[in-house]
Amino acid sequence: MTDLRERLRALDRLEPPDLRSRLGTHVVQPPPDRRASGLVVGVVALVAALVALIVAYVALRPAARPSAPAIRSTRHANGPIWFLGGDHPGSIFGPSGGVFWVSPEGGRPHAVPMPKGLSSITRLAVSPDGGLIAMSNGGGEFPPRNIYVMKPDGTGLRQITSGNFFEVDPAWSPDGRSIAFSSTRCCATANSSGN
Amino acid sequence: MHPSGITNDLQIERLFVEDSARMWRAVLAYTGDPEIASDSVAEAFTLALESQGRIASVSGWVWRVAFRVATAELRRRRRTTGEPPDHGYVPDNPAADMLSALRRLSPRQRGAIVLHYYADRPIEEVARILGSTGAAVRVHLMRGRRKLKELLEESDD
Repeated sequence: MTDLRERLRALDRLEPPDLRSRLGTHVVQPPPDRRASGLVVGVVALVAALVALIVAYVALRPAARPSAPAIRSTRHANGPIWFLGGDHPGSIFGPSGGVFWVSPEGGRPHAVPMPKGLSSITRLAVSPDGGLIAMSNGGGEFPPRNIYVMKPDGTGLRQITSGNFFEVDPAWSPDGRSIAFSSTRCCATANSSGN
Repeated sequence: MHPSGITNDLQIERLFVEDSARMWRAVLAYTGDPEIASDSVAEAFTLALESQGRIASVSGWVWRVAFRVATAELRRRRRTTGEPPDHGYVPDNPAADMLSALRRLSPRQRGAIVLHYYADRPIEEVARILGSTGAAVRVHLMRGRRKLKELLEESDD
């Protein structure tokens, strides 16, 4: 059996195509209907041309859009806007995932170097003075998922809460001394220094 | 806030990053057709993402849907063309001998062998994916293993 498993490893040498680009597309196309009339072909070509025009417009228009989809943004007064971007909304999994910031006036988004110790972030909240970003970080489906803070340049990562709980949606108090968050421990707040 | 929606998406994303390539290879080995493999895997992940957190076990669900979509497509093609897919058009196929040997097993034997010995799925899960029973899967594995051994020895000679 070990030998069979070894032999089957030959399959690992097969390289799949870009599967991510196929997500959301309809699958298993039916064979072309050779009896399709010229009218149907014409309508399809017209729709395809319209779609191509829309795609070209979206791609070429000048815009301050991030390269990754912007989701769940946060900011403090007159400061940069911080957001999570990635291959899939709600996580930083994938090669382009992470924390970004962009000026409120627009321009190119900047990626924050991600410190070790983060596996998947789902929410961000910037402190009132702009000096810290709170976030929910954890491994996925099951607890623990806890609250962390880091400086906006990606340094100074600290775990604020701990324990086998599922903790999300951090929100700062106006004086920046407390962080409220949703937790399976129920109705919790933590001092932003972690005490 | 109930975490199931977020965590489902995270689980799906993680499964995609860690396991979609292996899933594609397994479906390719099962069907013999890279296009069916690509479409089936993409369809399974797309359906999972659209499920809005209603999936209890993401990994087993996505593997099961990918193989069932692939099986349905194989049946549809057999009905319309009468021919199973051909491995021949995998460009510069580096696993030609293995794919060729697998092709000569019955579909049930091939599915069981690929899922259990290549994808490391437990026998009960293989049975769920193939719509069979654990006992039947064990029989398919035994017969498939014996036949595959003979075929691979032939190709080695």
